[in-house]
Amino acid sequence: MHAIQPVSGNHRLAAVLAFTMCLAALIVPACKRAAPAAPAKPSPGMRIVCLSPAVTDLLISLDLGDRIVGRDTWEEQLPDSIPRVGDLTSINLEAVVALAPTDIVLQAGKIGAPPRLEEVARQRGWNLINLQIDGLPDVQRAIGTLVEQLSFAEEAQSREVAAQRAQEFVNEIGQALAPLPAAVTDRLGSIMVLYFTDPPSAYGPGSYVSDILESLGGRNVLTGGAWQELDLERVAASKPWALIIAEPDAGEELKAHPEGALGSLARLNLDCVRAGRLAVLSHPRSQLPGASVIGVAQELRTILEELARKQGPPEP
Amino acid sequence: MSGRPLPRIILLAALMAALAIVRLVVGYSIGWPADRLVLELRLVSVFGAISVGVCLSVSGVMLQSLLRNALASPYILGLAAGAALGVGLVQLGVVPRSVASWIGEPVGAVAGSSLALLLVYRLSLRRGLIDPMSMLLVGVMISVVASALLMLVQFMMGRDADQLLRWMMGRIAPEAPPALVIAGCVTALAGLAISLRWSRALDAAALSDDEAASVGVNLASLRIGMFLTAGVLTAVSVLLAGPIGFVGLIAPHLARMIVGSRHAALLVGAALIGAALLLAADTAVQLIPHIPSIPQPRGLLPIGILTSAIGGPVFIYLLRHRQSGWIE
Repeated sequence: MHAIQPVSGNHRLAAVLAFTMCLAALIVPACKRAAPAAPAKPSPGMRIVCLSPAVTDLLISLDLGDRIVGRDTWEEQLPDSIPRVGDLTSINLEAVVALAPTDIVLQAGKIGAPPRLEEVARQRGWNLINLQIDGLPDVQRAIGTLVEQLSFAEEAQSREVAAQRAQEFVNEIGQALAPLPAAVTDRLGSIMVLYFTDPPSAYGPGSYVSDILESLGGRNVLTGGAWQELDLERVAASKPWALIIAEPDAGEELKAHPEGALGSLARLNLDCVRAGRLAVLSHPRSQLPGASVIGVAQELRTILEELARKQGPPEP
Repeated sequence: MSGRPLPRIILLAALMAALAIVRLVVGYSIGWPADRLVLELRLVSVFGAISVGVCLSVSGVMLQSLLRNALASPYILGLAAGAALGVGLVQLGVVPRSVASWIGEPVGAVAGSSLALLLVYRLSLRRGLIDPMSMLLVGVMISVVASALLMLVQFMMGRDADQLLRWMMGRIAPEAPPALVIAGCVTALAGLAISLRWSRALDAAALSDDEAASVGVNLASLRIGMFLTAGVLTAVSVLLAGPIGFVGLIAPHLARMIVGSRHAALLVGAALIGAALLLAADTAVQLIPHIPSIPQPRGLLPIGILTSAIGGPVFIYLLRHRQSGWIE
């Protein structure tokens, strides 16, 4: 236990030094090379700040990616020149103001937009669009909402083009989600799709990937919540007929030898692994409910067809 | 206040004012804001940082005196963990959404820290008096239990725990409602004024119980008053910026070394240093995106990371001087 003692005058110098060190460590390195950042010069037309990577994905698919002037902290697809303006938990309002948007799109669902953002949007006349995208049906709904609600500031023709593109996109999604033939689905058993292996975590019913799997005619081995953290015992007890492991950006090597993605699950020596009913889902945005639906569905379709082709009828 | 610390306090005040002006110039762009809204956002940040710095450092001084422990800080009594638990429960949906939409996380933070405060107070009473040692130990235990419950909340939130995790990293939010920041400033100033009224009693209380009693200090009421004031100040700082570590620990020590141990000067000095540290940290957070040559975080770095990362080494530096009489 340390008691507080009166301080001798000599050591005030040490305190001043320490305090200066604190301030210097915080500010000086930053000041040395600080370059003023010029606010973006507003260009005419619709300027979107998108606070959701999933919605950004949708906007790009609707050919509206070039209208995005500010993006979410976690967005990966847009060029580096598009500034990150925070996310729902910490919006950099000053950055948003500097970008002079016409539209703010976010994915806050029922929670609603942050109150201060709503207030500033009202003051500045920004068009605030709040979407909810959890499962597969929400994606198609969001496409319609975007085309309807984006301002397309004085660009009626652009809205028509976007509406047309949206219709094409919805048709493409419909095609990608068309169920596999019964000859394929009849040979499939219950499937577990994992998004982590250590600890094992899997998509349950109601999750985006599970929705796609079921649309294609596959069956999820799990019941319960949308994202489930499991343990090895539960994975073994659920006896999946096949395992699919989501490994974004997995290379050809891992896809050819998916055992490498098993992690701690390798210890279970599961029947499905021994029988070769194991695959890797390599789509880079398989965890992002949005435009990736087409790519994820196409890859899952190929995986399911391959599993059905390689294996005989499912166990009773 | 004696004549000697006054010039140093004036210098500290000037430093804090200078840092406030620097923060007004530094933001998404560098320069005095032409847009009134941007100026308002930066002013909210400045006053938020000052409020949080004053709250943390004043409560740090009071708790170090109350517990007669150089390592005491506002967070050692579990108040921050309690506040975080309150926010976590609101986010988890324990409070119905219809109610949470208007009481929101601020009330969760205040309720959580108040509950922790009440528990620590009740459990540290010995024969009607607050026992400093019991308070310290109970505080640490409350903190541990609240942290464990918070982890449970995070686990139950699953993928939705991001928001709570981010809040726990601490942040001076420019988008905070101005009325909330004004209320924070008023509370911080009131806390400082109240503690200054007790400064002579605090000087006496820093000695042994017997010596304090011999000069007429009512230790029981002083401890309850200090404890409640420190608790409220901590809750307000958590409410404004989330849990921000080290400022409440370091600012009192720096102030003690710069302006001396007399509580009148110490409280004012600590308040100014706490505010200056928070302003400097917030300015640094804003400056980082302007330096393309360093690895850029995604978005603005949470301020709590910065204060802890820098506060730790500085505290070790201070500890190295303990033989000199600062800490026995």
